[in-house]
Amino acid sequence: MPPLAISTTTASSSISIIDLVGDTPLVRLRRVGISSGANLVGALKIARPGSVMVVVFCDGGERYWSERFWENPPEGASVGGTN
Amino acid sequence: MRDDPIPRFVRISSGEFVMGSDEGAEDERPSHPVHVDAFYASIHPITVEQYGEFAKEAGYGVPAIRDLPLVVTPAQEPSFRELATPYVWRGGEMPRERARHPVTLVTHADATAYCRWLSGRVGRLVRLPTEAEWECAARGGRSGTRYPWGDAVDRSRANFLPDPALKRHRGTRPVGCYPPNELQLYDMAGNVWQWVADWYRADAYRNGENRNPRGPSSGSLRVVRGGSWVTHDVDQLRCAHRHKVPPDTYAYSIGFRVVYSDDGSS
Repeated sequence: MPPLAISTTTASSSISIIDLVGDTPLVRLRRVGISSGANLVGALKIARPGSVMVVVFCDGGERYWSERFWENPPEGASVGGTN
Repeated sequence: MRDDPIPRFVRISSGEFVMGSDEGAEDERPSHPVHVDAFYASIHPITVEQYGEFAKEAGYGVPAIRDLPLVVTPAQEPSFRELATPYVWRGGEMPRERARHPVTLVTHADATAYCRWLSGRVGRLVRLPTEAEWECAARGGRSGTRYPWGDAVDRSRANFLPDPALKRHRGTRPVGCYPPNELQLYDMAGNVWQWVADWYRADAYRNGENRNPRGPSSGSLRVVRGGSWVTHDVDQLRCAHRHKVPPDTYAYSIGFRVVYSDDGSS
């Protein structure tokens, strides 16, 4: 993965800039929605050194906070054994 | 035969027993003496029919497949849904053919809701057993044995899954199918995992009380005990084994039994 800068300018998304060096985000994204995540993943897949990518984060992730896909079983849970 | 909607209880005398095991997992250590006051335990896990009485009277939601439990990984989802299907209540009605099976697909909150309802019915504070009460009951007065009946695995004593390949052909069995332990308690190993009252903490025995321990005051995992019909690792059938899952977990292998304290009244 090349060093990469991604920015958005829409105030509503409040995501300004993330810098990626290798796979390590220097500034972590706040939660965004599912389609925004897909947009980002797609951009990262097709990015080439020196390219400029514009990624649209359609919305924030607030509306999905009640969904369980954010979660993982708490550390130490007996995953398996009951199913 | 119709089951009595109110569970039958047996009295467990006050006394001391050795809780945990020095041969088991780290969280079972150290084995240590624990005193529990006398209490009454339901002789078997709460059945589908008994839970149905509660759901009908209290207008409480019936066992169903809801959001998938966190302990079910995406890869396990198809299998979970398939195996759970026979345990789902359709149209609010219990699966009649399972009336005397232990109720499953219930969360910790569902189990405590049942306890609240039953408390009102019988005029006593009915609750889930503490982990110590559960293990005391499972051991049934035997000291240091691995299983409620002794030290050797015995297929005739518990509903578990010796051959994982047969999972789709197995399931819960009616309560009382297997011999009780010496306290006349059924299904203290196998059939269904049983919710207990305690939060889980791995070092609970190192820092815990020795008299009527109630476990940590908070946590993110609840303890289930006893193993179930899906258990093929017989280590999990041991009296001392501690399984732990998020409290909103539900599964076709998890049920509960209930207890109340002996306050000296008849």
